[in-house]
Amino acid sequence: MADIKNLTKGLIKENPLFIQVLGTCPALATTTNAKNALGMGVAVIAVLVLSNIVISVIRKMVPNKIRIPIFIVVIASFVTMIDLLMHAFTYDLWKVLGIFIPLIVVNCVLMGRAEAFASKNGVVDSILDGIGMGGGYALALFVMGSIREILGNGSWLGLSFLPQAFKMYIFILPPGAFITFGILIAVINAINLRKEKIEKEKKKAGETK
Amino acid sequence: MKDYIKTGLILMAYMVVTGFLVALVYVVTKPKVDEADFRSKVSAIESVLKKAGTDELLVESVPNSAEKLNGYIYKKAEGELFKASNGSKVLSPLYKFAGKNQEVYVITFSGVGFGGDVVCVGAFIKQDGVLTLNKIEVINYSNETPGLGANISLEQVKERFSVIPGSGLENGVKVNKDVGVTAQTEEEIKYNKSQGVVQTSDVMTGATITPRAVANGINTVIEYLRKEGEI
Repeated sequence: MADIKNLTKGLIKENPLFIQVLGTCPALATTTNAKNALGMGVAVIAVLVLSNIVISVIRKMVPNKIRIPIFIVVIASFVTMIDLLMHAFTYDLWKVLGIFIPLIVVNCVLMGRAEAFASKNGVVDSILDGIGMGGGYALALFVMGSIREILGNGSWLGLSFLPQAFKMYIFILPPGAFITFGILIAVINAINLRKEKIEKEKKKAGETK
Repeated sequence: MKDYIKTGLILMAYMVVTGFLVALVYVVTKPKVDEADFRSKVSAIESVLKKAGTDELLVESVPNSAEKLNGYIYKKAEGELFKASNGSKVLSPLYKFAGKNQEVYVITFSGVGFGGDVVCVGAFIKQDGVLTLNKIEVINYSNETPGLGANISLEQVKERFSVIPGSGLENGVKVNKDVGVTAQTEEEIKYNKSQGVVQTSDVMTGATITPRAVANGINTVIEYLRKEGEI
């Protein structure tokens, strides 16, 4: 049964980057500006949806013992094919995303969703999960990229608005990635904890009545 | 034992099928990939063959097919043509276009940047025995930091490397931060270029390593051409 929750849970509640802490390597490396982050995010959505579909389709034909190598083969060949196709047909986009596409192979979000969701659920649910989790990942990257670009380069999506003196270069460099990442995880956790607390109180109030 | 063989065979079947599919996509896209690569190469060559600041071509026409372009190959080698001690390279092939009273060398060169090689294509004009750098195009800077070193591909940065006269090339090209001068006016920038000092500190703040790589690459090209007796 298709469940719309599979689509929405990836955005904040089970955000792959901030809550599950999956795929952090590309998240630190590609978020130096908002545009690169968005490019990586979109590429991950595409590959995640496709690999979720295939893994969901073949899930009953995969022996339990060797499921991990088979998932890796499926994901790696998908990424290779997409890389070749983009190289051939959308050269400019391929050039911009160049280094990110091979990076998707090692992105744990894909393995994580294949193992935790697509290998246990139907095709439609897996597509929803792929879009939701991919979307959550892309959103997280975009927020990180935006913060780093605004603070570090005084611009957003290439539009420059801060004068030279206000730029904090540390945010474009690796340490800035860790700082931004840590603070964002804390913020998202705080939001989720607060939500839980409110829900608990509501429940309590309902019980006492 | 039987179980192991069975699982092994299943895994092999998956490998064979996906391997076949990847090979199929590779074969189908190969001509398109080659064409796209060739086109980007030619557009870089065409861009540096334009007289700096104008749309006027230095040569009569730019080759539009791989065979025609190959006709202009002047020097070729397996791997690189020349490697300097600082890691800068002159890459193969080297093209030479003959004009009316000038010769134009289109040379691919690289210098060691922040994370790896920064690869550029440049057009060097030889007229009356004097070499001038017309223009450069940065074709690979994928290892440079976005927002810092990757700014090397910006038009206003490439412009600073455009038209370095013979006297500047003779002196050896340097980045202004390494020499410790900062020009304030256009004239000063132009004068410094004739001394071999390229100003980049105002158009790409905070990054010295990447433009230095390009400058080293240019110097290596000069060293190579000198060694080959071209100048």
